[in-house]
Amino acid sequence: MKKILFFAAIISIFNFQFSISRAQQPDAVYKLLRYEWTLNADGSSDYHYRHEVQILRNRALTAYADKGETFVVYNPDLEEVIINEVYTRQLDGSRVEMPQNAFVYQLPEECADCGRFNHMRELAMVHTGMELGCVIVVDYTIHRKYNLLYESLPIKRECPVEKMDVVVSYPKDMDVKWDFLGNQYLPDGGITRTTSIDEDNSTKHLQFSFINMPQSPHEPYMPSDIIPTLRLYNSIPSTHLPSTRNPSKNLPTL
Amino acid sequence: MKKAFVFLTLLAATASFATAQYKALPGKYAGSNTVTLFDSTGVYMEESGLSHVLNHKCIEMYSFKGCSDYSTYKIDYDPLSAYCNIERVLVHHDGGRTDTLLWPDRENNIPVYDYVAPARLIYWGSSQKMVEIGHLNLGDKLEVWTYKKGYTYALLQDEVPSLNSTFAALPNNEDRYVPPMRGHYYDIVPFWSNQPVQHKVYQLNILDSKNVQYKVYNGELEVKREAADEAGRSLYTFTNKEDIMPLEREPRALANNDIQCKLLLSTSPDWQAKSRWFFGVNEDYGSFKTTPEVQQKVNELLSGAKDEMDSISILTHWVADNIRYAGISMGPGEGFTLHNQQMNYTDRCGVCKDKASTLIGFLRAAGFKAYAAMTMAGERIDRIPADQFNHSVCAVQKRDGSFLMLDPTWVPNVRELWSSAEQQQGYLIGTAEGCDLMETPISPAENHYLRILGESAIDNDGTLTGSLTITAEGQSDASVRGIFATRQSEWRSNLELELLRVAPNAEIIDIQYSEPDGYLDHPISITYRYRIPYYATVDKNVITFIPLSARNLFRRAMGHLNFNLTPETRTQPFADRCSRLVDIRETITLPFEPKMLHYPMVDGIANPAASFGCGFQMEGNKLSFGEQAVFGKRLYEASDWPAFRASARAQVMVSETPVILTK
Repeated sequence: MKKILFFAAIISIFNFQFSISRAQQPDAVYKLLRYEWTLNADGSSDYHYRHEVQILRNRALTAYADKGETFVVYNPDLEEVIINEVYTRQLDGSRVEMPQNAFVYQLPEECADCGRFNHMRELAMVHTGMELGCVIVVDYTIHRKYNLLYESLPIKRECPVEKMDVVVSYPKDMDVKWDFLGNQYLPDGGITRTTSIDEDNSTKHLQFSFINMPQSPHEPYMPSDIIPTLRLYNSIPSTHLPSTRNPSKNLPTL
Repeated sequence: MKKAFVFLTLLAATASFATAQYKALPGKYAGSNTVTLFDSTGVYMEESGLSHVLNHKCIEMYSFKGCSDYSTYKIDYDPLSAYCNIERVLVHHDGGRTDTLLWPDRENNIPVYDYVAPARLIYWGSSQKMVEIGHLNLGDKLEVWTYKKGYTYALLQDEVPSLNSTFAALPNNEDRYVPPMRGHYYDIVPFWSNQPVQHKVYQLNILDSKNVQYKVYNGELEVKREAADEAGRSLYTFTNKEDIMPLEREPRALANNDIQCKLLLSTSPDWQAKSRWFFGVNEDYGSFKTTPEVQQKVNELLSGAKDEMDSISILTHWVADNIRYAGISMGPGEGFTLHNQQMNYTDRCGVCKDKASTLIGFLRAAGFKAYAAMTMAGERIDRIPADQFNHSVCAVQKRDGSFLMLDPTWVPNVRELWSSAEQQQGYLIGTAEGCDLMETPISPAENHYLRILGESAIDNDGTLTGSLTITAEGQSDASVRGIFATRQSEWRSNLELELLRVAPNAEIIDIQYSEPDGYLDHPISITYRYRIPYYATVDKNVITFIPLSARNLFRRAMGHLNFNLTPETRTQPFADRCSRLVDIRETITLPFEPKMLHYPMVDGIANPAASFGCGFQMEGNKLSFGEQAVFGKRLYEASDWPAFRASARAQVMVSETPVILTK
């Protein structure tokens, strides 16, 4: 009888885990996420962004197609958006380029009902050629008339990230700082950080690579700072940075 | 004492602030945010159908909310087919001063912003013009003149004709502003408002040869027809007879246009003409002409199809699941022309009309006769053939000649070809011969069952152990399956929540469910195995509990429970999401054999609109419980309310009333 009970318990645990494991499958995966800031000595900067995301579930297309559009909000007075490439790679390898009518320049919702912000723009890129298993590639650069760096970058996403690169290039006499919030929630290993200086000794490079980041957990009432966040900034006192927690007292300077 | 004085002063200040929220008004306007003193619209229709629309209105501010709402003034338009402008803006202050914010040929006008409006899902570049009025005070009157040209949009003239000039001299029209149904005009004019309106006037200057027909629905207007000039034009004037007051809507009432006063005008002689036009515009454009890629895909999809209905189902659900809802503009013609097959198959996205177009193209490639159709989701289509449409679908003609309606937009992950959430809905098929307006039939409630089957046991300390299986079909299946219309990482908490919502201390042993995305293979089935400590109150001689299955788990699939069931009567017709059958059964094994059973005494209800019945039966130490509720349709008359309410209330009562069993 004891054996039967034990067997029943095993079955029950197995069934439970089977259901739950199915529930933990991702709906999409970022094959690559790349963020690159180049801070120029003339006071300008370039922000280069690229993502390659693969759709793993059909409902990700129809029920909550949050990968189906990419939005870039910018200030045309200070910023210019340059599209490098946007396309969808379908399962059979064919490449569907995004047509011109799928780039829509519109007012950001946040700027509605306000004349002073009426010049702000949101570039909506509506991805075409999407199908189950396709990879959406987005690559654009924003040229900025300023070189202020003030970024908070969540490391985990709602789906797994196979590779995430973060690169900051800046003049050697510029001070760039970084720190992590919630780094205790980062998985062990899978993170590398390198610094280098160009041969002509003029530019420094700070690079982070994150490999195989799992998707962020989804449970009710999760604190927002459970998602590890990389913060990057130049010439900004740390006390001015928004945070739900105190930043590290000993910030590394490069 | 000092503190008390400060407190009282603050209280008095708060009270006076609160009363200052609303201007002292004659009784009937009390509580309004604004009152529109007049709202005059003048339309001049040209031979081609191009229309010039002038609007002149004056709005008085009655609350701070009203002041805030009108701190900007906006109008929407589509630059591809309309021109519009805000021409003049005045603010008349309460004290008598008038500020001119915008006036022709005046310096220091406030800017008129022209921009592509914020959008999600439909990215057609629809635009807005906006002026910032700025701060307004209570009692201020905002007076605005606007001009619009086009069929829903356009013109580039410099001067605005005065309303008093009876549209005398108008500039040359431009072709792109001529409506697609050339030479025709239609309008749907609401004579209702969410804020009071004292005078509303709608004037139409139109050629007699256009034979305009009109009808006033759900109310009365003063109607006047007079000769406008010697060129065979008439001027129709429609005016409200008394103040338009906001209707106190009953919850879940039908659309405002269905129950409040509206005016419909159309020069289209009948629906057949509209049907022929809709057929022609898409056939001429070549919306459904197949391409080699489409033909290849259709052949691939139908390689294993068994029969006519299987082929229709495969194609409908492929389009539903693989053409995602996101609209991009094709340029001129957008809005009423269905995108062609090349666009649809390459873009794999579109709005309802493009999804319908893809399906029509696919069906035709498979040898079916298929047509585009128009419908109006959420609102009635009245007999005057104005363009009362907001949705496009597909009609396929079966071998026996009958039409079958298909809606690829509303059936992703739904086990239907036509969503029954669109039953009792008007539609018009575009054919070469011309069709009349039709209505989708009621879908029987048993096609949308929600079934809960339970097997449980109560032990001596009141712990309930057992299992519950939920199965559903049709729209109820879609509602239950909605749990999985999220990221997979959210499924677990979604599933647990359905049970924990009614039994927070439940220990969930296991949840098994059928393949959520395999919706075509079988109806949804979810089975919970659970243990709930101290669920029942047990003492030596008495057990008290409510059967778990009766406690309205999966309310998400029982829309009738979300109605406010307090009012005994209704005066307005109302809508549920769909017809529905709820069928609940549970067998509970008790720790002893009771001799007396006290259970909720609920009267059965038998009515074609809604019905309810339930029963309890003891056999040894087993208690069987069964309950069935039927809600017969989607749209109900106010007179259906007593039966609907009684059925829903009976179900609530059973879910809240304990069963008492005595030894």
